[in-house]
Amino acid sequence: MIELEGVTHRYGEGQPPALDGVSLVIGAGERVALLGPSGAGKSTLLRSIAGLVRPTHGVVRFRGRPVTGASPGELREIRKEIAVIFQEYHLIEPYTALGNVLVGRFGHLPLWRVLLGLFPRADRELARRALAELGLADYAQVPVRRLSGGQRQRVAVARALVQGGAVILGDEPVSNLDPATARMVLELLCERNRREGTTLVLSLHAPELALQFFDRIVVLRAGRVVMDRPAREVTPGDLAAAYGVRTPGAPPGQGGGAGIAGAL
Amino acid sequence: MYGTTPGRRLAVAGVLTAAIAWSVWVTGFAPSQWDLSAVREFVAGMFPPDWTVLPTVIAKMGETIGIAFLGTLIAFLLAFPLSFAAARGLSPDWIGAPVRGVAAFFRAIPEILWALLFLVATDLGNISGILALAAHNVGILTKLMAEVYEAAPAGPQEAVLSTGAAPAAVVWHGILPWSLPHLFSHLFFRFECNIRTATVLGLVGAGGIGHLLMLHRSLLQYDRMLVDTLGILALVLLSDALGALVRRQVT
Ligand SMILES: Nc1ncnc2c1ncn2[C@@H]1O[C@H](COP(=O)(O)OP(=O)(O)OP(=O)(O)O)[C@@H](O)[C@H]1O
Ligand SMILES: [Mg+2]
Repeated sequence: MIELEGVTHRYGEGQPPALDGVSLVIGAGERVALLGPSGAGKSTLLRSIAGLVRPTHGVVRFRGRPVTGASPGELREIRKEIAVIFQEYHLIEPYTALGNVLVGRFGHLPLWRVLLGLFPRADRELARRALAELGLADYAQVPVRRLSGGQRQRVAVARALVQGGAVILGDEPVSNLDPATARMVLELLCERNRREGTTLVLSLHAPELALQFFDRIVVLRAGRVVMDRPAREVTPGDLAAAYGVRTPGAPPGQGGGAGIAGAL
Repeated sequence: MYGTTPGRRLAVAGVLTAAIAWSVWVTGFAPSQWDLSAVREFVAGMFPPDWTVLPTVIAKMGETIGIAFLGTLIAFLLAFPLSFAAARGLSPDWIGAPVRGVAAFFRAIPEILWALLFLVATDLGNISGILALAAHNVGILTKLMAEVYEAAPAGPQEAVLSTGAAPAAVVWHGILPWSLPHLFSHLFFRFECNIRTATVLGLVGAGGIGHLLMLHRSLLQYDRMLVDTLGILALVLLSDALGALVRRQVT
């Protein structure tokens, strides 16, 4: 479904690469958790899959078609299939929660409907249901600038859910939620994965959530993939080593030792 | 003035003195040569004011507001599409650069010059005033509005883009909602300025209260000029109040 081949990205000349030769194949229907310390390149990786960042080297393919160097028309077709939950939500501030969720339908509607804001009844229903599932039924008509951080994050999740693409990319989609709500949101995304085979690639900061909800764990550090393994084969010690953090439980001198210095 | 050295202060004083001397010399500004009797005659002629022209003055005030309003509106309607073409990052440079150039040209010519041009061309006061304001302000608004879009946050644009929406949708939903309050704020400020400018344009014959003032002046009806002047004063105060009110609503 998604292939990365030697993807390297530098934001500027002379800057260290945000991604450094990342190769990754993600199959249809997989649930991939992307872990790694802050600045590891998780956002950059997700953005290059969505065609929002053009890697300086390497190729990204979606369903065998290159995303890198696709024509504007092709890129629109690809983006329609890849829903993104942004780390900073990227909501349209003056719009209501419902208005923001309906943005997810833009790729499917004729331009005149999008410009006039005339959405088919079915789309409105879909958007309302998504908000209700995320516990925001009462906030549908509230401008998002009056919502709390966690509520805003859930609006961003709802927008991705109604887009109904083959892939959902989530950049720390539960970072602002309490533990119970975070689990509820991940459960909702996993249910979409089980029912419709939607591929999930989500970056997370909580390893225990990654182990619980995902079937594959990819750890990035300083722009490189330092671990890529099925979740059931991953132990907390492995994660600590991959993060480059020495934990009390992990035996000393096993890769973790040089970790922090290596990451920097 | 903290931290300046005596030498520096001396240099500033020297430059200032030279500037004053030069300005007085080139302008022939010499109060001793003023003929105060003309002023006395003028002031005496103003009193008592001739209030019979008040209805005309009020009608002409309305005309000035109308000129300012239509001039601003036409400028906005033209600037709206042009501003998208002029905005960096929204249109390619081979479109943007010429549009920005034309806009710069239009706003470089003062309203009063546009008014004289249109007066020669159309021979109609009010229309010349409207077109003059429209021509100058289309240049100003195109620039101001394009700068608003350029400053719009990238996040919402990216969010719309990532749904596979058309570029027009990215502009319409990703940029405009954030921009609207700023656009209206610019628009009302220009309207406020244009009310003031429209009175001045009247002095060269482009309609409204200014035109009336010029007429009374040429007939030496100073008692009526006083009423005209009070009308202009009221108009300017009114536009200031309107602008303040609108700015409070928008921000
Ligand atoms: N817009 C940008 N311009 C310049 N450099 C950037 C930009 N975005 C990211 N970087 C750099 O790229 C590197 C990777 O950043 P990225 O945002 O991908 O990390 P991340 O893993 O998502 O981190 P976090 O967990 O903090 O979100 C960082 O070193 C960062 O400084
Ligand atoms: Mg990030």
